[in-house]
Parts: sequence; structure tokens; C-alpha cells
Amino acid sequence: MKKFLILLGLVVVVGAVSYYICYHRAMASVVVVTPDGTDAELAWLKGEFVLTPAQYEKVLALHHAYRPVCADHCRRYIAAHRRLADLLKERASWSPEMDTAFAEQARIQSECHASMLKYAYDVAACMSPEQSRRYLEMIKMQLIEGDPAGMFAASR
Amino acid sequence: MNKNQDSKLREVLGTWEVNPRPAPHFKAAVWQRIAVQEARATTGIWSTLRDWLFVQLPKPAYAAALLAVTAITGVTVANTRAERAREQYRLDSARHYLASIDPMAMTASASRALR
Repeated sequence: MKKFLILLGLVVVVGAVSYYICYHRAMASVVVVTPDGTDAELAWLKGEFVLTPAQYEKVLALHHAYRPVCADHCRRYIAAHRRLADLLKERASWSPEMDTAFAEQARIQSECHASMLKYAYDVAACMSPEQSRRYLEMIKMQLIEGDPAGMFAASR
Repeated sequence: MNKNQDSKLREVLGTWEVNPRPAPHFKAAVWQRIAVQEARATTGIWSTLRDWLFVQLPKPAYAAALLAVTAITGVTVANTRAERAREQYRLDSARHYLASIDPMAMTASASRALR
């Protein structure tokens, strides 16, 4: 009985230790956060699209230059969206202001997409041809389907 | 004479029937023996299992095999889970990255956060 209990304890320890070591070794390549906790998504980009340090520097510069532009688009889009939402709540019937609000929201949305696409093409130009193709595929999937899950499911 | 006696004997033997009376409580005794055997068989399984678990399994050969199987199972389960976690991480990171460059996605996540 005593030997059996010792064996049972060993089984638990061996199972847990082998699981822990193997899981942590397998996950070691995954960067959840960068050392300083910022630009985690760019650290992922670097690994996913196999960027060299020189390519990464260029992408980082483009990303930091694009960030305020993106934030401005975001702010304008939210304002246009709220205007439209308020109008829809206030008015019980169709009004020309609604038409204007819809057009304004669509115009900003189009600007956003154009600006994002330009940034994406600039980033893709920094990558190797194969990685550039994959990156643009992800961007197009986001623009067309609104989510890149299909691309990652396909690569599994 | 002998022939004559043989035929008579054969005739007598041919008509001879033995009808012994069964022993008292014969059926009950049979059923009791069956029950005892069945009980012994059940106890046998448990005692064999107990013997195997507590006596045979802790022997070095079986114990080593069990530990090896445990280690292999641990490694396999860890690899499978890590693979899934890595795939999920890739997808989540792609979404985070796209949310950081797509004003529409940023707006959608901001709206979700406000709700």
C-alpha cells in the first residue's frame, strides 16, 4: 500500500513536471508583451512576418508616424457616427441632415480605409515578397471581412 | 448349460433397473455450491486487482513503464495545448495589430468598451 501511494505521488509529479516544462518550452517563442510593455502588436508583427532588424525599424517608424493620423480618423469617425446616431434618435422622419450625416460618415470611413491601405502598402514594401503578400492578404481580409480569422485558420 | 445360464442372466440384467433415491436436500446443496463458487469468483477479481495494484504495479518494471507513459502523456497534452494557445495568440495579436491601424476596428472596440 505504501509503495503504491509513493508510486501514485511520483505519477502526479512526473505528469505535472513534464507538462509544465514542455508547455513553457513550446510557448517560449510567443512574445506576449515586449520588455517595456509597449508595441506588443509590433513585436508580434516582427515574429509573424519574419522582419529583419532593419525592416522592423522601418515598420516601427511608419507605425509611429501613422498612429496620430489613425487616431485623428478615429476621432472624426466617432464624431460623425454620434451625429448620425443622435439624428436617428431625435427625428421621427427623414430629413436632409440625415443624408448629410450619412454622407459625412461614409466619406470619413472611405478616408480611413484609404489611409490605412496606404500605410499597409508602405509597410508591405519593407517586407520580403512572400511576407509582403501574406501581410497584404491579412489587411484585405480585415477590410473585406472585418476579421483576419480566416487567414489564420487557413494557415493552420 | 453355461449358455443357458448366460441367456438367463442377460435377460435378468436387461430388465434390471436402478432407481436410486436422491440424497436428501440434493437440489438445495447444488444451488448452495453454485452460490459459493460465484461468490469466490467475485472475490477473486477484487483480490487479483488489489494484488496487481498494490504488489505488482509498484515493482520496478511496471512502475517505470507507468512513469514513462505518464511523462509521454504530459508532453503530448502540453504540446497540444501549447499549439492551440499559439494559434489563439497569433489571431489575437493580428486583431490587436489591425485594431491599432484600422480606425473602424478602433471605433468598434471603443464602442464596445463604452457599453
